[in-house]
Amino acid sequence: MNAQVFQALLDGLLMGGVYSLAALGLTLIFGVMKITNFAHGAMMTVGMYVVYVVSTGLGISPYIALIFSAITLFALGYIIQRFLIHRISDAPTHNQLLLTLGVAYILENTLLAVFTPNYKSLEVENLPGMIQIGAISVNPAKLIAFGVVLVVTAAIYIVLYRTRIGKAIRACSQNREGAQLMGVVIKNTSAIAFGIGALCTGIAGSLLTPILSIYPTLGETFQLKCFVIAILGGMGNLWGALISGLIVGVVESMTGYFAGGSWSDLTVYAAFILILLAKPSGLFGRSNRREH
Amino acid sequence: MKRIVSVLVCLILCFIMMFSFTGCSDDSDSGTIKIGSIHPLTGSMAYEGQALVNSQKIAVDYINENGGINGKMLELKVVDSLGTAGGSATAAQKLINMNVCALTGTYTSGSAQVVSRTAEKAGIPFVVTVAASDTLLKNGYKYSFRIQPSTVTFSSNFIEYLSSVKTDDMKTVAFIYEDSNYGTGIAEYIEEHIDETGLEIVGMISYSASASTLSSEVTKLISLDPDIVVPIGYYSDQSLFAKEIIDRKVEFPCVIGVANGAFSDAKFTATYGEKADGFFDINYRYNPYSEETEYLLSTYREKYGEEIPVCAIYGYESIMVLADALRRAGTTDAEALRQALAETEMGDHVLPQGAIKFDETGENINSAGVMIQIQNGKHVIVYPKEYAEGEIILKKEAKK
Repeated sequence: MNAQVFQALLDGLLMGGVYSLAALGLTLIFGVMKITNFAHGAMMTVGMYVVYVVSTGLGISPYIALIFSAITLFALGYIIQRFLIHRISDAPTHNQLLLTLGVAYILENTLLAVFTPNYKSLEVENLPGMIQIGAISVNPAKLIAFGVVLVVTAAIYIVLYRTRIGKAIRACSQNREGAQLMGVVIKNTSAIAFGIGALCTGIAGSLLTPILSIYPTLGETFQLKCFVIAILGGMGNLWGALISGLIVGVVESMTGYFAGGSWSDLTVYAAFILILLAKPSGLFGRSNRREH
Repeated sequence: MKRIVSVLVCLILCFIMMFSFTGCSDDSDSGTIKIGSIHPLTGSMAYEGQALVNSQKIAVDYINENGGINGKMLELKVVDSLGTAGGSATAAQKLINMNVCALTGTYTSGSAQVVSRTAEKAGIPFVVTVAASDTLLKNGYKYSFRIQPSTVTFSSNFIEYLSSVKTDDMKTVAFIYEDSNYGTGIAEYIEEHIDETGLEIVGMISYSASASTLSSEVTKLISLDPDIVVPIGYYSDQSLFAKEIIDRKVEFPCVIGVANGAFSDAKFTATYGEKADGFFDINYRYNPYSEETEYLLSTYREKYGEEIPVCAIYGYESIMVLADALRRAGTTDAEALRQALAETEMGDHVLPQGAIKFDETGENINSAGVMIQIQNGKHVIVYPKEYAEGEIILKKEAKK
């Protein structure tokens, strides 16, 4: 393979990893609550600003500030679910959905009011601009991001499959009423699941902060991307989201290389539609027949 | 009980409305000349919008401190455009109802188009502060005037200024541009006129301005190995591009932006400093040798605690041009003011161009951009010669 094509492939994979983590959060929330979190992108931006503020304020590396961002986002997600969405959990789904949209606007406009729409960017000290391996250059910030994504995903896997609360979350996502009958406290479990979902997108945002210039409405771009990835992977399917994220990252990057970035959205969405036509419940989604 | 409450609420609302109306009528009696300003003060363009208004205020204060216009004081009426075409139309109507003698604005071309139409219908002059779209003044309107260079001016400046940097070894050029009207417009204009430069185009790479990475586009660019790279786009996407080539230590013999949203921005040099050395950009800028510029820059710094964003010079200049026309017209009558604006010939100003003078479409015929280069982490005008602050420095020899 030509070195430049390999370079584009690698860039796509690394970026795709970050998309995966954000989409993982979205799909986790959907799995348990059966609603799409339209505040996902805005939460990601909140995560970015937490890193920015903590990192510049305390003069620490953004990769340490990331911990603050994760905690804040978990709390934010927990509060939103426990005190807002849960209160209307008997309302029709589309109302709950609109509520998350409302939350998105509130978060975004609060960021606008506090930080102004000005672009902010973060330089990481002691981090080389690029690591050169033969003809391939790798952005260390993206490499670290990918590493963190792997660690966080593994941690979430352990929480979901090796702990009691994880078991409760999975039970809720498989059958809400059934879980309730078995003594799972839905209110708490949902709030924790939402918190973990928010934490994922917060960490994804934090990892992007050293790579991008951030501004309050940046999350909108990622909202749709996460949505596409989550659907592609089969809404509620964690592994599906991870793999689809990588696929979208690579498709985007390869299109960028061969045809120019203008075409990447088109290619991603065209592929999205084609895959859905062939497999309506997503690449890794359970078929509808088995669910009912 | 419910009834009493609702009657009370109605009464309170009535009072509020009455007071808000008296607020308006007070203004029309005062002896000031009102100028309307329509800029985005909220939303993603609020920073630039506010900067434009700030510099307009500096101009208004300057004029008022020096005796006003024929004895009358100027007053700036500012209404938020929300950064949208709809918001701008409402703002324009609101200002017309306040009896302003002219409108100024709007920072984006879409909004400017709408205000231009509203002003034409109402028959009051509209002076564009910033809006670069080439088609803005192509409607045959009589009341719209623009001081700023259009995208076509920047593009033809590129063709013209290129000779100052281009060595005989440079043979190929590639474009990397955002794919909206703005980036595409400039790239296509230059593509059409490329024969005049003797260069061969080896790549036209477009991307979406909301892209979260431009890695693969830059990889593509490296594989094309052009002598000259022309990046065109907004701040966030173009700083992604710049960061990518700085980090990868790619050295193209020559990188020349055209109306590049990042390269000419003070935030850009503040972020990248000397790492961005060598980048060129053809863009609007103030004339460093005008005394008025000195006044504008230092007043802005004093009043607002930061360097003036370059786009804001047009806020200042729009008020100066209007003041000049008002003085000559001797009245705020719309038709007389329009006539006076059309006859403008203003030699003293802060722009790097000859006299400000409008053609019959309302375009400033002498408008021009300058070529800046980032040197030692600072913006330095390198061309045209009469405004140059330094010499052109070529980083790397082109391949033989």
